[in-house]
Amino acid sequence: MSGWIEFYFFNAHFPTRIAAWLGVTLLVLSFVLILFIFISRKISQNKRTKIDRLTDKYETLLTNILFEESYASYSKGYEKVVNSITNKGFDKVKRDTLVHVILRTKENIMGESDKILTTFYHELNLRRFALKELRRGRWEDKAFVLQELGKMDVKEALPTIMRYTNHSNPILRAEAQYAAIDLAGERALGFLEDLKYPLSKWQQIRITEELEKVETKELPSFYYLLKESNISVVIFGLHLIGHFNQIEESEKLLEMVTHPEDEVLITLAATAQQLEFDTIVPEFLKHFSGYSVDVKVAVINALGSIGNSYDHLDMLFKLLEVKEYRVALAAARSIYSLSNGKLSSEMLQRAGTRALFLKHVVDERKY
Amino acid sequence: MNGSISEFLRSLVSLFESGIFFYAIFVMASYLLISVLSIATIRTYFRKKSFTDTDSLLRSDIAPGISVLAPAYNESASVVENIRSLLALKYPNFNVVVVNDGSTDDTLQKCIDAFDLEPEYFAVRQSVKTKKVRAVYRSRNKSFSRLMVVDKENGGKADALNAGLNISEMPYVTCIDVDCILTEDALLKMMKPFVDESDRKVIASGSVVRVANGCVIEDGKIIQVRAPKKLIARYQAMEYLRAFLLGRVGWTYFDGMMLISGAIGIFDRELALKVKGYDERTVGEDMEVVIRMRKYMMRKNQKYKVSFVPDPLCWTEVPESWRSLAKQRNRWTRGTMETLRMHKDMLFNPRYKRIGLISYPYWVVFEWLAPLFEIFGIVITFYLALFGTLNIPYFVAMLFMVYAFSVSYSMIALLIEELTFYQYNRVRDIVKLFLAALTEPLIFHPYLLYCSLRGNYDFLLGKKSWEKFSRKGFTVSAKQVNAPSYGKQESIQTR
Repeated sequence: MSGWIEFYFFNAHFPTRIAAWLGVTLLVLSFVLILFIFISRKISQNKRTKIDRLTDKYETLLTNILFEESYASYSKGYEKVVNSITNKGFDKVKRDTLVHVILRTKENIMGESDKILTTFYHELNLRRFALKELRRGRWEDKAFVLQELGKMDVKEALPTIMRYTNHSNPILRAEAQYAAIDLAGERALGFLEDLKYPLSKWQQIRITEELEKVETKELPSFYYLLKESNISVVIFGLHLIGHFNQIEESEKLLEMVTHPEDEVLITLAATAQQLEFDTIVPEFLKHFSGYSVDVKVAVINALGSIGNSYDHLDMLFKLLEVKEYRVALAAARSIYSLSNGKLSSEMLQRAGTRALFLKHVVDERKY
Repeated sequence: MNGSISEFLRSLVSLFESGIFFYAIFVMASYLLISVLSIATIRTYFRKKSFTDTDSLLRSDIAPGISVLAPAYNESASVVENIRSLLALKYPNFNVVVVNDGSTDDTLQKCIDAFDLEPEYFAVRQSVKTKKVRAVYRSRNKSFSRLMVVDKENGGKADALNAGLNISEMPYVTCIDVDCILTEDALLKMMKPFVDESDRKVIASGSVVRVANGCVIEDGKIIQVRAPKKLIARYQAMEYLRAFLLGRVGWTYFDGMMLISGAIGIFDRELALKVKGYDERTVGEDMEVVIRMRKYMMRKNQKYKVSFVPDPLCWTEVPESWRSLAKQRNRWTRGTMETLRMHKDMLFNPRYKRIGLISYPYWVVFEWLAPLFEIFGIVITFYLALFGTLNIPYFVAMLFMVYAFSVSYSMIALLIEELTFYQYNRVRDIVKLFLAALTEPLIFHPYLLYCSLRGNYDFLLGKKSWEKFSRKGFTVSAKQVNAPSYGKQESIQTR
């Protein structure tokens, strides 16, 4: 046996020795890895148990503070809770768990309880740790802290947060934008004006969600965003105008029909549809022939809801004849819509060979 | 004279030995490199994931629409339950298009009865040419308004998917494969890359597929993840872990992925139509369509990306008999070869950038030729042994090294699974998989080599049939209740 070992590992020719050494190393590595799997499982289970225990403890404490009379703010019970948490000091696990529990609880409460919870967060001086992390943490820690500061109403952090709204890291940037709106509501939207990076659809969805928390009457008119050079901001502006039904300055939309970007025009058509802004239709039609197929389809779709049967049916019947399938199909849909969902035999006759399209769109579940 | 011949043979043997050594080192280094990239990708994914509340997408009014395309052939036993499960997916704006591909059993009637379907007028645009669509059915019941059942003449899986592409009017389509169980939030998670990217177009997105054999499944959901009971399925569970966690994820690091599994993938519908949909000429249609979409974008000089979600969103049933496994792997080999042949212009073609210069050559060398090299090596080794010229210590050491690498590579995959997704939460499942990894190179791998050889042989013979393995199905303890399966289909003649 030892002769074999000596031969393979020391005396054999070079490639054999290399293969033998590599083989043994890899096999040992395999056993080390499986051992590591079990050890890491044990460690993470212990950590999870600790977190679960802490979560239970903190949840009970928070429930007491929020709903029990004897733990009302500044009562003895309340002070006892604050002391019990702060006296032993915070390690990272404790602090993170407590912040997670607070943030989760905050999602489900409002009004007075919300205020108590925010005060409790400040009493524990948790923001001190958060601000420290924001200065020197890893980007994911910073992003979490941004969430925390926004939700826990740490207004003093707003200037720092605003600096991150144009950060090159997309997650940090996005979290800072949401946090800024959490803290300052509509006033924080200034970051959109000099945003260097495009807003993804995902960010648009999340910012819209944050803005929904702001009282509608406090929201600014989003028309100012239509002048931005960042196309994604213009598109988002149009989306917000439609979403929050800001009809007041809708005349400004008329200038947009000549915008060079297709996506802007498509969103514009959808926004006009949402606002039921029919004044824009003639403007759209003036430039219709110069539009791309995608824009044409969007405009025709809009016609279906903001057009009228007197002025636009003839044009739609003409469009029904065009070669481009999507345009013809959109025209069929709009004809059907402008006819209040009724297809007369006269209309089918008028459509001629394209009557198939009209029959097809009768069931609105298709689109 | 004899002396010079033997000298020549000796130098040939020596060359062969060196060749094997360097090839083995090259293969191992490549695998390690890809796994390092995978680890980096998964790490980044996890760091970002904690800031992703996909429910925001669920609540949004601008979530892009998706059609779930589910081809079905002779699936009367499970089709109703499968459709119910698909209809229960969490997403705000989707419909389910079931394509009955000329089933000879009562698949269609079962759907009609269960969902109160009626044929309705439908102008089917043949953007991609398919076999004749006989009828399109919709439900009278508003609860099933998301459902559309297409009845068409039999034309094969690619043809059925193309019919679905023609009929869908959503901007995105997801193609679901046989007997897969999708997690409830699969669509939400897979759509995230499409709405998250702002500077380039995401044309397709795939996800990790895992082995469902042995798992506890109730009402179409994986309740508990378990290692498969049968050894052959356990080998495949390990193989899937390696392939997805250490393979495909790694390729996404530099957007070099060529294959999105047919089991689950979301595609930009308009682009899929522009490239004329799935190609029926190959049984590897899932890989082929991705390559064509990529080529199209590169030719048009448009910025694009093929995305991949490392979360296990799709669970599939793998073959539990050696015979079925052979059929499946034979088809995979043929699919790979057909696709590689169809796009041979990409090989080392700088026009196709990293796909032409790295991914495509990698597939040629590692996915197609590697098994052939191995078989060639084995044959030569036997030959040398027969004539007494084999350097036995060297070959023993090489075999040992390759074996040890295979085991350690499996362990790396298992470790990543443990540290990230933590699906196998029982220690005994990890032990089972470890034991499988120890024996896999000795039992499973040689069999795969044989299957690959048969696949190559059948490819040369021009075999085109879609030989699906017969699935056991998920029974009471493991019930299949998701996508309609594309079961035992007879050989289909393709052009």
